[in-house]
Amino acid sequence: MILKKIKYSISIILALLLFNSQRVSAQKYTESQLKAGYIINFTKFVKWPDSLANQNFVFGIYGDDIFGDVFQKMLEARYKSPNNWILTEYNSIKEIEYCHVLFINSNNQDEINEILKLLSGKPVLTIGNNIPYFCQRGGIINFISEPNGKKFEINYISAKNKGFIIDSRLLAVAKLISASGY
Amino acid sequence: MKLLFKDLSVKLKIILLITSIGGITLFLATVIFVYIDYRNYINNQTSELSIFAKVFGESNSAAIFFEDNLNTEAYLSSLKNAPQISNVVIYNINQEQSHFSFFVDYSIKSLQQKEPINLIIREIDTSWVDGNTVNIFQSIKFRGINEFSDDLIGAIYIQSELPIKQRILQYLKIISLIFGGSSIMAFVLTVKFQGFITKPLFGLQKLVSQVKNDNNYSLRASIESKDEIGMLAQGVNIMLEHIEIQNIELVEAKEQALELVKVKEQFVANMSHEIRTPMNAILGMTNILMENELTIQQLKYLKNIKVSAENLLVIINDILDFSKIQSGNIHIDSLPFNLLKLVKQVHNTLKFSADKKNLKLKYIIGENVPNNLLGDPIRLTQILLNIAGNGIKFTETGHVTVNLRKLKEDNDFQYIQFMVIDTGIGIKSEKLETIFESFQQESTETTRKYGGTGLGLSISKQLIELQNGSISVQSKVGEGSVFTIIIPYKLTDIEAEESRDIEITKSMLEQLSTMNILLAEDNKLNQLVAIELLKKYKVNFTIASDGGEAIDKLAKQKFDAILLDLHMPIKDGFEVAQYIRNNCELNKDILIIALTAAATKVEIDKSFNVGMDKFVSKPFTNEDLVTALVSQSSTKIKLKNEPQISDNVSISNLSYLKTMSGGNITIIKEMVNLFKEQIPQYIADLQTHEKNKDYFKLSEMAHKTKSSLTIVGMTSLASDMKELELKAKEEEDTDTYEQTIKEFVKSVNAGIIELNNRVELLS
Repeated sequence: MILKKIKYSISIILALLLFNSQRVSAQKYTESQLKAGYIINFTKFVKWPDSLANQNFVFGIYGDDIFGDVFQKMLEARYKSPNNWILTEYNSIKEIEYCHVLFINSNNQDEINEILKLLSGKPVLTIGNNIPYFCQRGGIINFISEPNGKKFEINYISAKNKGFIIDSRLLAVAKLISASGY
Repeated sequence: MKLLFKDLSVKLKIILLITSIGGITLFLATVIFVYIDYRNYINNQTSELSIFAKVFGESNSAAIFFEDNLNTEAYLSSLKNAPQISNVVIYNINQEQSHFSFFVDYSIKSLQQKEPINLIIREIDTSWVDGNTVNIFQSIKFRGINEFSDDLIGAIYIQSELPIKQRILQYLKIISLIFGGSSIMAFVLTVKFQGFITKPLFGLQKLVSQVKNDNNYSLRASIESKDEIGMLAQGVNIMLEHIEIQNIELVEAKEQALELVKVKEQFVANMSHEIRTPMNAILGMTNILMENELTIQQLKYLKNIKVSAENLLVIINDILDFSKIQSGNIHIDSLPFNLLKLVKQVHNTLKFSADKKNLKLKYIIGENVPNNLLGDPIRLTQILLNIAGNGIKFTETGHVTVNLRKLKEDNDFQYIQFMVIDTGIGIKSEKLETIFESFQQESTETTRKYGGTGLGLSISKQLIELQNGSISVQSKVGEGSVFTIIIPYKLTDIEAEESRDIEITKSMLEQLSTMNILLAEDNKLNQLVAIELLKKYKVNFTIASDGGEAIDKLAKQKFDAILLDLHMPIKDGFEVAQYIRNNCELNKDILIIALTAAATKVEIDKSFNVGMDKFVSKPFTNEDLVTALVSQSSTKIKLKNEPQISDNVSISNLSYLKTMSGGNITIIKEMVNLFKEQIPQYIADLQTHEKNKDYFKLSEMAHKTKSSLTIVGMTSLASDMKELELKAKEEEDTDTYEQTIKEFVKSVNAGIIELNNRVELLS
């Protein structure tokens, strides 16, 4: 009986939720919020090499920090314990140590080339923020802005070379780039 | 007309029962099967859909994550290959996971509401059937590659068309196939195999009806099994066996009973003969003795003997009547009679005894009492004699009155009431009820004082009841009794035939004198009797001494009538009658009157069968013969009520000859002389035939002798001759014939001496 009541109230809540939902909800988010969500979601489709598994998840940002505390809040909303996420900001290339994900937000092509060269062969998931030819140069994921099109591109060869296994479902929604890069 | 199931034949019942039971169970089984199958089908559909939803949701998890509806739409369009899926809606969950929102849909029929409004009361991860659709609303979960728990990332709603109609049609097809097939199968098999049960039953039924129709209890049922029917058949067999045995026993018992009745009848007949013959002797001898010169004392003794003998005769007659009634051998006649004359006769008969006691004997006949009635006058006479006789017997002073009146009439019947009133000793009231019972008198004292067997009233009562009448009694001790008899009689127009007292009218005599008659009679004595008669009435006649002579004369001359003795040499009476009716043109329509001494039923029947018209028993009287010759109405035969009339004739007495001749001594003498002349010749013939062992002729001779003996009243000797006749006919006890003839010679010679004395006495 109690169980039924609970189920019933859940139904009502759920129904209310659904009723209140709006189709335009996507536009409500800010770009940084969207991208933070995307990045969190990317990690769900990517398998790191065994050597890096079961460790705290290190998320590095290079360049302008577009996120602020968005990331932290989102992680808190999604996960019971966001403690195994370590957010690190790198101000110079030299600071870049080992990390699981590196978000690169820069227009400096030389820096980018340098970073990509530095990380060549290392199992670091590089994500470019709308950087031209990012994937062609060996970057793995790059946010792109194409009207009514794909929102990111993936260089799966580069990912493979670095020892990543990317879920095909992720590949299915991405624009695929095939280049060996650096 | 309503045909009830229980009235159907067993065969039909079995077929119907098995077919319908089979049908019902099959129907139930089919329904259950269909229900379960339907449930399974729905479950399968649901779980299939659920798996599909799960797979589909998960496959699109990346698209949901990254809101790539283009990709998902492309994916959904692949559902065209699954035409049963009519709608799919995918919802994603917002970043804060606070609510679902529409993501993408696919629909064949446009879904009116993209929002799952109709899911309001539904839970997530549920399925339901709505109309002919299966609906499922399932969460889409996703576990990241590096994560340890599932995330709710959205929900999927799928609606799939259920081909229910096709399914139902399919079910109907299957059901009708199974049901029809099985029913036909059950019917065919039952029709074929019900014989196991019904065949032995039908066999039994056939047997029973055969037994019933043919009454053949020797039939038996064949026992083919040891089941109930087998046991039934066995039971029927045992019953049939019992019945058969019982029937045999019953037939035996019946035969025994009939045999016993015959023996009893024979015994009674024998007794009648054996007792009456010596009684006649006693009476006859007493009469002869009384004609002699006697002392007063001797006369007194003789009178006592006579009275006792007469009383004894009455008692014997009573007992014989009683036994006849008991054995149902009594016959009630339906003859015309004159009631007035009958009462007068009764009065005359009883007058003497009433006078002796100085009693007044009166009869009063009411005005409306009819005279000519149809009934049994002899029985009525007997009853009235008994009741009124009793009245006289038990009355010392006063009167006995017989009072007649017509009580009523209905349905052709005249109810005549006879009241016999006396002023006698009366009957005690407590005895009134038993007085009509056999062997009951008012008291044993009565028996001692008044004598009697106690059978008289019982016989009267039974005779009255045989005539559908009734008798009752009222009485006061010391004042007298009233016996009331009521008997229904039919009226008749026919004047009573007064056999004994018939007056031969002038017209009859005239008619007789014109007739030309042939007398066919071999016995000279019988011839003489007839001749005397015919001469007396001036009839023209011709004599034939045997059957052959009769035929010769019939062929040559026309006659009006023939008096035909049945037992004659050469051709007997039956042969002569046959000749007349079949071969004699001249005398074809002649009146044939049979004459015989032995009037048995068989003989009478035979006589009529060969075409004889009338039947007269010997010895006959004038009236018998005249009536037979002249009376037009008497197509009826005249049988003596006592066929053994010879019993009433005393041994060697002349009463018959006296009657026959009307007391003419000359005729009697002539007759006796003829007898005396005949006898030596007869004796010689008897002895010759006996010596020659010619038993046939011996039998004929004995018959002839018997007839002559009867006429002169030698009854005892006549019966000896009859016995000889019968025995010789059958050639029985041939070694006794010599002795019989010897004894006969002795006795007949003594008889002739006696006859001579009698004739002398007459003159």
